[in-house]
Amino acid sequence: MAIVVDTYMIGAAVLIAAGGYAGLVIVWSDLRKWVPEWRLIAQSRKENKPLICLTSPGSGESVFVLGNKDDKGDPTFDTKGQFGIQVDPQFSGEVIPERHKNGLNIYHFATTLPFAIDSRHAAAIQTSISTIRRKIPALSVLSDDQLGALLTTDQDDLEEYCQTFVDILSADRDVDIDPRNLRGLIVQALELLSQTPIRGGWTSYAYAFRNISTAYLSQTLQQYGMLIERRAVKNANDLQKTLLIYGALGMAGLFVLVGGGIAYSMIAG
Amino acid sequence: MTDSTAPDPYDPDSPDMYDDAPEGIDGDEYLPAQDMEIGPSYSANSTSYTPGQQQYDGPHYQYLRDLYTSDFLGPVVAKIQMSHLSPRAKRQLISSALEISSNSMLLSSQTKTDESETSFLIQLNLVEASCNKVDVNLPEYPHLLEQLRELTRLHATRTVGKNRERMQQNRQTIENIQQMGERDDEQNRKKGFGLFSVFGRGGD
Repeated sequence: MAIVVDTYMIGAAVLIAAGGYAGLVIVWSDLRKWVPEWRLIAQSRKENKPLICLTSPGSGESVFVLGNKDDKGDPTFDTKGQFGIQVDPQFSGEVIPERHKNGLNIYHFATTLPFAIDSRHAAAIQTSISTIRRKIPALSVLSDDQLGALLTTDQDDLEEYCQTFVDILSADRDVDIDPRNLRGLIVQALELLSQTPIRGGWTSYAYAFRNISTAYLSQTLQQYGMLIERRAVKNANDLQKTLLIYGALGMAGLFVLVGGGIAYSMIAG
Repeated sequence: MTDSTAPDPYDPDSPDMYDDAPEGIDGDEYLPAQDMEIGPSYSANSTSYTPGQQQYDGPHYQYLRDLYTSDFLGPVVAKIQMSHLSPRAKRQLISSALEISSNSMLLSSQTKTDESETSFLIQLNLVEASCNKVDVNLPEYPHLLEQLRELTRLHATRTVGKNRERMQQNRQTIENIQQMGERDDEQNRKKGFGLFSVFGRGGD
């Protein structure tokens, strides 16, 4: 059968192709604009690497980073250009990632902490603070940071630290609490929390990260690594310098011997 | 010129430099360097700081002891104890302060100050691992760290360089402090009423 290619047919084909390209451009720009993480998500599924969700504890804003590693078996992820160091939860402890369909695993990190937490930890922190605030109103004199610091203090140090807190609190406002009473309230709070089940419902990773009481940042851990590296490099440089000096001395000695030999042979000859 | 009213650091009968220590500090916890043993003792199980009482007779040993101790260490430890840091942070900070002033740190034949600075930064890193958020938000925290940093810097520079404050390179050269002072005076003295210095060094 003969196909007649006339102007109308070419025009129709061009129109269909143009429409297809326009559609592709629209989908592509939509994808780029509204799902900027699509490539990371695709890569994560394709290469079987976890996705790191970095949350800023202050604003709650999060970004996705692919869980790459410099070497296989490295305990930390390679997150260059991001914040500090993120330790692989396979090394740091039992953290369950968010498991999505087709093998997409997401770990939640803070921009300020080297270790990941999961939704159970976030819910536990939230439950602890809300339970104490509701059931022990006498502790309302303490801020969330102060409460967290006292709850994580060893029992041996608790009395001394309660005295310090009373000193801090009574310095700028009239607080009617004595150290022994404060210690009793903290012990009561710890006992209460040991019997309180973790509540379900909504959880906020930003809130949880904000209320973890440690001051050790992922940036601090990164600095630690850099300091150890600096020391290793310096030791290597020192060794190199020593070898160079000995090498130069050896060469100088050799020149003297050879020169002396030639001079002797010339004089004697 | 020597001030006759100032306490003599080498005289055991001289009045304590820290008799006017702040209220609440025990005199024994607030001792200057001359009453400290090299490598002061500190119990890790308590927050009390107990410097030694060892004395040396020979000026050479006296000099070495002064070179490797600091009269500021006692006050800074007392200051850490009085601060509002958590007990855990206090313990680590005191431990770090003692470590950066220890003999092993100062006698480690350093030829540059980089090494002691790196050690100090590692110590600070460990201090931060023992701190909570309340600790690092206290105004005292950066103050104490900066004091320790300055103490370390001065300690480290004592043993480094030919014309530095002290001469102790690799435990081989020991120079008398008086000789150093005389040499400095000699250098500072203007020759020919300072007229030649105009040509020699471009004038003052």
